[in-house]
Amino acid sequence: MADSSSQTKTEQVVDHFFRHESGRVISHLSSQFGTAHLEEAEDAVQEALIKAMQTWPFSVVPKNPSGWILTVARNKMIDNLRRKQKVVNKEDEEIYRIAESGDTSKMSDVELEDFLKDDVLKMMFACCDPALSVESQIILTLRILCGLGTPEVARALLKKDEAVAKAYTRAKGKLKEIQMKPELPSKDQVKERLAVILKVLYLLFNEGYKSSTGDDLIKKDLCLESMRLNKILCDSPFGEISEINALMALMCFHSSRFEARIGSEGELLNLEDQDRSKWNAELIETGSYYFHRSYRKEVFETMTEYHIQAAMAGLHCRAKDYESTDWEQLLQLYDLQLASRPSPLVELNRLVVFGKVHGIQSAYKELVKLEGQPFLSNYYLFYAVKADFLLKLDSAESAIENYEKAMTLVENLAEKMFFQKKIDWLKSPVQA
Amino acid sequence: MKEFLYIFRGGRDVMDEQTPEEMQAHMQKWGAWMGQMAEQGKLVRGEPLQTDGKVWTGTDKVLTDGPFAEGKEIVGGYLLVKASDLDEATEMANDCPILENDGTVEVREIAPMPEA
Repeated sequence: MADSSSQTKTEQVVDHFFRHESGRVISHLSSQFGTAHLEEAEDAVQEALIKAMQTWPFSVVPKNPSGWILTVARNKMIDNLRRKQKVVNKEDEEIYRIAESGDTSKMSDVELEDFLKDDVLKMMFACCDPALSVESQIILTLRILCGLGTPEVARALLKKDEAVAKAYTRAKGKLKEIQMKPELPSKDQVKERLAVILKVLYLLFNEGYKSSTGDDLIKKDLCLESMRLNKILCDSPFGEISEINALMALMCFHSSRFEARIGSEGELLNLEDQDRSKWNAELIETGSYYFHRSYRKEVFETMTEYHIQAAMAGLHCRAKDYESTDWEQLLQLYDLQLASRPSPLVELNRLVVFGKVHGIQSAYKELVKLEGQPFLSNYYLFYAVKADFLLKLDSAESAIENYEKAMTLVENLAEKMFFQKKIDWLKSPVQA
Repeated sequence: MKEFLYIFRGGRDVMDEQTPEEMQAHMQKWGAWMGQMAEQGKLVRGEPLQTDGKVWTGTDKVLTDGPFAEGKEIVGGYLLVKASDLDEATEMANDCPILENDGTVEVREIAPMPEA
């Protein structure tokens, strides 16, 4: 038994190592053997991870753990395929021979990264094939590329385990039908195919970000995973494409506020109340880097939703405090967003900024015009914004009414607490 | 100090259903458990065992292939540890992560050779 302290022990294996290796190796095996053997690839990786789990603690972690897992999984896969096919045809035998020929067990992490990177990309395109439903794309991405299991996906997406398991089986079936062998898209297809991947990554990020209240780490994981996959795109041969960088900037800017968004009692804090010293400066800097990359003359084509949202988030990140936000520029961005993608939600957010530029009185007038809109009349934020406006217009009583209305409509517990706090404060004797 | 053998059985069925994240967490518990014993100088040696093998049985010398028994009974590995008595050795095994996976750990004292 080796126990030299310079060697890696199992406790020192980097976080999420198994999960990420699972994604890489399944991608590799599926690229080599085709998605027809996706299940065999999954089983082989599972067996390799079990083997690692059973053997590594007795000794030390192999020098190149990634290569170890890849090699064990690949050999299992070939064994299983050979055993299944009583008569192996020449073509398959050739695939096995090629698969076995590269000695992956001795590859360094850097060599391995290079060896596998196209496979992960190919699998991203396969999982986000336009012929699949958005639900399938999301579940395939989480299960295969992120290495999340059914219970984890279920927790992340707030679904039942059985529902996720069924949806995954369906999605895999469909994937096998349409994508025999994962490949990189041709040059003229890239944009269209990328658009789907970016949308999936954007949805995943939002799903993780919108209600990440700290009680469930899996939500934060969704954000980190979507950023990790987006980073793979940024580093790929397609990495110059403007939208990829805009989305990356957006994710960096938003996640820089991850810790600052949660108050001392677990409640969500809005931009105004966040302690800006808690914003992650490194992520803001990284965000700015990708933001500039997205606007480079040679690559910039059109202002997409990602560009607009990244620009907005960037404005907030650059403001020293809430009041010194560049409201005029922010309002222009909202106008742009409203023009390209009209939605009651954008309209509502725009009015908050409108109030900063043109005064609460005129913003309130505009808000009242939206009253009774089918979507907004059941949307808690409408009442929250209305209450905020009323409060600033010195109508505390009407403000309380609207906060109460918002409370009855909101589902998120942290946000419910947020409104309760406001109401309590307004009703407190100091106020009266 | 006496020597004791820990014999690990089962725990495999649960693994088939575990997610990569769960497996890594489980592996890290094994590492921490064994690491602690090693630090205290109580760990002598240990190895995992391959699941398949061969078995000779009886006077007829019947040869069978593994796996030889139900999953639960397969010995997955062993550890040789030092402890002052069976109580201490048993207590040390109480934290064995295999229990989380519904497996068993058997604690047996290595019988000393009677002095001649």
